[in-house]
Amino acid sequence: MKANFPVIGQRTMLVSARQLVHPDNNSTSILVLFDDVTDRRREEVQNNILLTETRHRMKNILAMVRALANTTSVEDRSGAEYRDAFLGRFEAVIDAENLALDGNDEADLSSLVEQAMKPAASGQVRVNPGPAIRLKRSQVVPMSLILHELVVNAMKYGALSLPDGVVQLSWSVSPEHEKRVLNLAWREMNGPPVSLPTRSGFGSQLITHSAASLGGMAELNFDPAGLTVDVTAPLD
Amino acid sequence: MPRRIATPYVIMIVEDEFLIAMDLEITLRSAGYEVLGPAHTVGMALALLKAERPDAAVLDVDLAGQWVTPVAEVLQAMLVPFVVASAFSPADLQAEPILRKAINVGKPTSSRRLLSELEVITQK
Repeated sequence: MKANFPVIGQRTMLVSARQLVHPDNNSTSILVLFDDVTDRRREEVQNNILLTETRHRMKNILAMVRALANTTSVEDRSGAEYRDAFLGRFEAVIDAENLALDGNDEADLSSLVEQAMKPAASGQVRVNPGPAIRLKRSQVVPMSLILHELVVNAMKYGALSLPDGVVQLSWSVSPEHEKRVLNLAWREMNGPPVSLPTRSGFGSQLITHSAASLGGMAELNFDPAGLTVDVTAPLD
Repeated sequence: MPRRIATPYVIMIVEDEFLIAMDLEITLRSAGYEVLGPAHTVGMALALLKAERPDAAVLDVDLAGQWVTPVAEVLQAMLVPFVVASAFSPADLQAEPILRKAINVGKPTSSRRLLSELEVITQK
């Protein structure tokens, strides 16, 4: 029962009663027990909320893993190649989540870039950082996947597939309708001649979808001299 | 078969998590459907519905903290059938009869389940 008690205020009490039995006489007294379970009850309610929230999050994480598996193309790929592509994306998401967790649900673009460029040989990616940018958790995963796809594609088909190839990566922020807009520029040089991809590879699809989820867009230009990609996205 | 003569059915996707939206889009396109969206927000979904009437829709429930209910209401008014793809249980949807009554194909969403439910509701 829940009731307002004098002095102690509103409490939740577990009430039980039993007759006191003596061997000889028929007792008319009963014992009434009031057990104050207010705190226990509150904890139970909170645990239930937490449990529902955890279950919900777990299902969302599983749905995301499923999505990574289904959005990674199987076309012209061996089982091992598919696995590597899938795991590469999976790790990019985990790295991004970890970065956001460490940074109180935010991450610096420069740390994200540094992390994403690790697979490339040192010196081949020249980063020309722009102003410091804090990305929100919802922006960290798509940005991480964009950078991951760019570096993986460049190592496989682009400038980073040759020892002399170079990528210049830079960013800037420009005001637009009282909002800050991020412009991220990826320039490949000294790589093999670039031709239009024969199929609409899911790599470029993942990049354009990620940019769209940032509320922005990605422009891929298959310039024969080297791939250029421009990602624009509002920051506020 | 999810096709009418010559023109495929158009399915609207409303889902705020872009990877899951991409997953649904690939699943639907490889089954021969056309896709409207994906819409990431209630506002975007409502704007799409002003311009085009899809044959059916797949709705996530919680769009970055905003519930999809207004979209479901517009779809119902337009007589467009829809399924829900959500991790919520019926008890969680207690306060939203329009969502609770809809078929929930679950999350993670099995392609088989989604496609068979869509086939049923587009035939009605």
